[in-house]
Amino acid sequence: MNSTLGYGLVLGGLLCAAFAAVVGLTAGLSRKEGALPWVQRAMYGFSGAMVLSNLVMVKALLQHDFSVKYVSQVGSRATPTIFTVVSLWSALEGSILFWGAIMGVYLFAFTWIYRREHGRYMLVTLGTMAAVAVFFAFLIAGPANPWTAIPNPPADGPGPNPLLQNHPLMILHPPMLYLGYVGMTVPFGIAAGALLRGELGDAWLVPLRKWTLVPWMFLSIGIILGGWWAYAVLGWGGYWAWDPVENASFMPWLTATAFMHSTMVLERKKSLKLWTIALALGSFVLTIIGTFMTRSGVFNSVHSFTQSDIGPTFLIFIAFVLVFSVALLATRGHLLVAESHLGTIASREGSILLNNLVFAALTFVVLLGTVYPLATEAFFAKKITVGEPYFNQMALPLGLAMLFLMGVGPVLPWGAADSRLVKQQVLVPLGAGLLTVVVCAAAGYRGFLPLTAFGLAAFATVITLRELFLPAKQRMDEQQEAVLTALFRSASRSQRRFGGYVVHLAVIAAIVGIAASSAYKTHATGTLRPGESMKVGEWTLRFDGLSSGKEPHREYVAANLTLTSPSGSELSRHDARAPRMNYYERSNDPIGSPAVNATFLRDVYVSLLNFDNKTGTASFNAWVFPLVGWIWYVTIPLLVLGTLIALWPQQKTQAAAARAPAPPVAQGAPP
Amino acid sequence: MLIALSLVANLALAQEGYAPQRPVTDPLDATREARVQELGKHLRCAVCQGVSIADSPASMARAQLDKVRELVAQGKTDEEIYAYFVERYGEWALMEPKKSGVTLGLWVFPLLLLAVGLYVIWLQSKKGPTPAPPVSEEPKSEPSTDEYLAKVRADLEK
Repeated sequence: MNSTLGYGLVLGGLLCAAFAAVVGLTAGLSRKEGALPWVQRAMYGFSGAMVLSNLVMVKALLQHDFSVKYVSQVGSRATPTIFTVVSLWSALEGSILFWGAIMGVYLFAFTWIYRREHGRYMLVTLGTMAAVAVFFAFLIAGPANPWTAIPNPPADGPGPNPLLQNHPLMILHPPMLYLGYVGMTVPFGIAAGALLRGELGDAWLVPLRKWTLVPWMFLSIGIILGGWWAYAVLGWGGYWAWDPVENASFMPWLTATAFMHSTMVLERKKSLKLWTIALALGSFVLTIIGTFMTRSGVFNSVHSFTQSDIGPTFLIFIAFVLVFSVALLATRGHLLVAESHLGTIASREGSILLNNLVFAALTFVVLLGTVYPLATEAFFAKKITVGEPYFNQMALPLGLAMLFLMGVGPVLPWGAADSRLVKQQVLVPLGAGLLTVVVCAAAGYRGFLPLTAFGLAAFATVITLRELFLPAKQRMDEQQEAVLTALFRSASRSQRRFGGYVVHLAVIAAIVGIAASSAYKTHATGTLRPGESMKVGEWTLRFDGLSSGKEPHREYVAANLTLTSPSGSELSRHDARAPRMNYYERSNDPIGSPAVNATFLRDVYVSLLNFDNKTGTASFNAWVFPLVGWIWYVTIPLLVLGTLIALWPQQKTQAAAARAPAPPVAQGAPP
Repeated sequence: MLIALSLVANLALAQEGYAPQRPVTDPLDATREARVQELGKHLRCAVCQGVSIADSPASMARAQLDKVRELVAQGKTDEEIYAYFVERYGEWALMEPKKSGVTLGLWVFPLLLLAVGLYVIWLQSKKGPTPAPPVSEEPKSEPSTDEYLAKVRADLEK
């Protein structure tokens, strides 16, 4: 019953998407605008069918309907309800189905928000997005079908992958990433639609930017949550390993970020058009490649749940999208002529050009490092490893360059810079940067890279804060407004600027957290008998003996601890909060979970390596990581805040004053 | 994140009452231990995927790290220690690919890209009145108009 209904909905969605794609593209290209209502209806149909199909799957999971193949793979009566719902995306078929629902939500939102827009703009764009939807609906209906009916359903299933039910972050990390990946379909549709139509005024720019910003935000959150999850669950004390799949999510983030910057040059100077639109198309292509890497099993990784048949289908689709994008840029390139030229390097546009170069280089490094081992093995029959040391060596200088540009860029004016004025403005931030380095060095912190990072971070922070609050201060002085009013008004007068700088602060916080936690961590490892202690940095870790227990879906062995802080206060970490091994019914292998004592300035992190029931001893790996929490606690809220400020619907008066006459699409365009 | 797999393999042993690791060699002093950890960061764990022996909690990785400790205690140089592992596991064992042979490209290509990019940006900033942006074609409008507009816009923004 569930099988038939769910599969029927997928087929219905596929039909709707196919209809919208064919009619949208043909009618759009032959300028028959009357077809728009039908294409819109088909888009709504696709969205509805996909969302409903997912709801049916959730229902089947909750009912433990093991006659559905997917439920029999990931369901289990012992799994807590929340993880049963989450198991919708805990394996390949379900995650692609869930992907379809997200695609449905995005396409619904886009179609509905622009429902009054003229067919001339919408038909080709909707048609392109629908074509991508056809691919995903086809995957769900064919190679990755979760709805296959099982004739003799088992009485119980194995439950979801234990790694995925070991921590609540797993509830959030995948949907965020999917929202990021799938959302890139919308900017792709807008850009490809504009190119296909051959009408490249400013009209496409505002929606393109806003609809890139939405998935960009989710992608950022998804990536950070993934790191946080790895840190909180895997027990090796790290959050980023340059794993191929992590790299796959990082690349579209980099190109989308570069896009967000080059689009400013495009708006101001009417140049970098081809480059900007290539970045928009490229971000989408990279998300598809990322999905392929995550799901096809080409790379062995914690993320590739199963070897599956979706690889070939994906490769064909990737090839198609690549050829399509390149052909579009090649044939429509003449429409992307710059209307003005760029000035010197010492200008806002110059700093953004350099920023784009740095982002492009970093994307290239990540791509090269990820693909190189495959290439050497295929062409030279040589197995090599491209690991963390390579990526760190290449990425760190680029990251520092980025930090420097983030500081210096906002000071530089558009066009030619008045060097005297710039020097004046840079003096205080530069002083703050140097002071930070001196203070850190005096406090005993050594190392060229981390100190440079701190200095540049202070430099960029001072400049960013000044750019954020100076307009408000002016309002307070000139118009006698109260602090909050002035801040609110100045922010709403130039939301993009304000929001963008808040996001800069988020990135600076992440870089400081990364630099401090990797350069100044302290590590200790040892085997203890109950009652024995070991030192990690200034902390003392006392082992209080093993204990075991049982939870609904797992059993555990905990190595109980008491941590003594440098000031002498004791924290006990027993049972549920101790580092432990969890045993799930589904697998014989236990999954460890570390104990983390997290505070704003440092985390104490202890993971259980081994234990011996006979002697009662246990081996620990322990670290103290300074500032590591900043990467998630500080960065995520600031990043979301900044993005929301930038996305908030613009006030008409401001839009009219700051920009050239508003383009047709922009007028009816909420965020 | 791959280490999850190896972690799992290792912990299976623990369940059977696997005795905690005894150090094969005597503990080293802090500087030499730091060197061991640094070397370990550059050597790939033989049974895990893409994780260094310093990061992996797998018993195999810990045995390999003990081997590094032993070699360091014997006074071997970094090169000798890397050579020892390459001889046994192939170039695959190096987390950081060599700057020679096939893997030279990994180091050179990004630098090449940066150099070309900087050159293009430098060219276009140097060209003065008739520069073309790196990826677009000939400019259409006069520079003066635009600079004026830019100034007006900058003023508006204040």
